[in-house]
Amino acid sequence: MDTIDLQAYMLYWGMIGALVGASVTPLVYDRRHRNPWTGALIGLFVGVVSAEAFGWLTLRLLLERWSGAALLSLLGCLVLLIPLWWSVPERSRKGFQQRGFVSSSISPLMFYLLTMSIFPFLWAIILAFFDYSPRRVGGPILGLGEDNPFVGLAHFQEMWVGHTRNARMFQNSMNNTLLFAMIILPLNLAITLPLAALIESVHERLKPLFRAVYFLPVVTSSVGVAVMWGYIFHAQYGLLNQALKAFGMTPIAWLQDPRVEILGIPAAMFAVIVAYLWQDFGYNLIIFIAALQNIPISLKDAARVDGASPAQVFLHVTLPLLRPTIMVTSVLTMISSFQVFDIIQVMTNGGPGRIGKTDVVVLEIYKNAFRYERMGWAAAMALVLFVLVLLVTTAQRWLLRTTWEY
Amino acid sequence: MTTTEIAQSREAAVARRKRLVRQIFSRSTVYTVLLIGCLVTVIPFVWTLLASFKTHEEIINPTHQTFFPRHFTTENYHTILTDPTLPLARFYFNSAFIAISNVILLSFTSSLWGFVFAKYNFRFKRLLFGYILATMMIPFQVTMIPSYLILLKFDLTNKLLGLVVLSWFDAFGIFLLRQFISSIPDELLDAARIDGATEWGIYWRVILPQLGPVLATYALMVFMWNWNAYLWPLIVLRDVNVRTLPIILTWYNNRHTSDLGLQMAASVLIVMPILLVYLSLQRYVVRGFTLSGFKG
Repeated sequence: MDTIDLQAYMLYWGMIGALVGASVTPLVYDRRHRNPWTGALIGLFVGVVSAEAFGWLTLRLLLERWSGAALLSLLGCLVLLIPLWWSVPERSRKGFQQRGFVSSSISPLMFYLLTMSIFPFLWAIILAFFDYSPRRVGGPILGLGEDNPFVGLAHFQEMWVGHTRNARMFQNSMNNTLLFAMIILPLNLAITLPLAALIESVHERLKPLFRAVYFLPVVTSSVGVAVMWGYIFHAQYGLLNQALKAFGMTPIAWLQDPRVEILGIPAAMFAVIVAYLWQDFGYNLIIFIAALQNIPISLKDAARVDGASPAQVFLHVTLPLLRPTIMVTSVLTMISSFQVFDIIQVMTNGGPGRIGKTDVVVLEIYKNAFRYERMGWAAAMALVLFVLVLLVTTAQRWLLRTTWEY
Repeated sequence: MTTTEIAQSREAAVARRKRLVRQIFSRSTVYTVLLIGCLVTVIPFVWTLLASFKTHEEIINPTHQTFFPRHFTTENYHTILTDPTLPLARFYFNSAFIAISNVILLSFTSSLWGFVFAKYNFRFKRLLFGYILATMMIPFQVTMIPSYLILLKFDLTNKLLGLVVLSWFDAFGIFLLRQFISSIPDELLDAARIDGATEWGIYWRVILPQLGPVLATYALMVFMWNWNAYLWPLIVLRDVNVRTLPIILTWYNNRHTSDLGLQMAASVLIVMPILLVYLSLQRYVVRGFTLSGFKG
């Protein structure tokens, strides 16, 4: 039995047993007019026990002679579940049908949330306190312990005050992420808000056309966007450097030279920001257009009758009414720019420079977890990112607690 | 008509003309700004498309760069489509397989659970729904590492199935469809119950047909997310032949770093399908993304 990972099989059995038991049993219970929730619980328990016991027996007894035993063992849960379904006695009371439907459809959802949402989340938090690598042999529970020792708060301490290369890379990536988000947000709003107002003011027939064009980059794959802009910013053959040369300026190695700065930010960062902004602005744009359409026309008319110019109407009527929408989109834009990865990974891969000028947190997480297999360290960084996102979301909640009405 | 009246009407006419001129002026500035915006949006696409038809010599020529190709050639496409190390059909299949499987799975589960949360009462409903909404706030990068380890445990990495089996839950989809199903009147369900329909029958025959346009929009969005997804497929699919299109694009470009024409042709081939889908179903897509503005 050494060729088969017994632990994995035990997990398979348990999950299949739980799923089948908890989703089919309520239906049977319901048919017999009994409480389906009891059915779900009993089914879950019987399914898991039966799956583990009979799966193990099948594997143990048959595997040496017949390789199909591995597949057969997955059906172990049925050995006890079918008799259970058969033996549920009928009860005359009626009216459980709805509850049967609810519990048999919600059980898989709960199963998913437990196994694929709550469990990984807790695991991610636990990992942050261990020096974990999947290559090393660890203890019996999740491979933690032994060669993957518990390190307590050491990761966080290193992030905060450390001077090792890892710590410096993290601190640099955090700075870059914050810089990136802080530049993206105001630029994005400065482009999308006026543009949305302009599109809103043009002829009804032309609106969808403009909207469709501006939305093109949003649906383009971000890797495609990165490749296109990588060519435009290309040091020798790029469109931008050709233009610079045509105007008699010196071309710049946008994505390679760590020393060049544009308006105080590194040239590579500038290039990445342009590409990201170009891809992302259409999304906020259509949200603002939708919000503008919801503003009652009577309010704008009233202002216009009172002699306000279009600019004044926009500044003093439209903009205040858009405030909640602006708030929500700002937070969403900020959160998604904290999580930027695709464009930077393809265009610069965190470079240029040894401590990369465009290295961001998610890129660091990716490299540490899946290149260098330092998953504990990566999980700790992910946790910091999570706290950052949580802070922004809470701030938004706090700012939005008043309800606007118009 | 007295002289003062004539003067007044002339003044009015002048004012009207002035207003008209100003209006035309402001209209034309609006359209100019919008057109410049369109140009900025479209030029990278056009530049990429045109570059893919240029010869290698033309692209690397330092002195004579033109916007339009001087020697129009389809050689780049020919090279890519006949490259034996790049079975492009296979990668299209991979991307389509993952995207379509996820669309089918998520359309089913999101509408079912949206229906349950909209129309039924059960214990812990509010708690469960609150948790589902809260999961939208957890960045994917946090659960990414354990999710990968789970896939590893089940030997599902490097398999297309690995990108399908774990994705039958989408908090946003449940939320979106719950909102929509709440507006379907309860009387409709009761009528179906009186006619002897089971609850699954109601879901299948009453709710699903009503969901048409919303479900189409949602399905389209799921398709696009999956088609364009990069980070998660990059982690899970490490073998070359199971990869999806975006990963193949970077892989191919890293092997042909010096040949930009080839890179651009590859990006055109990979970006084009989704743009065509978008252009043909533009209204649904934009509406879907407008709805998703309330995500989070």
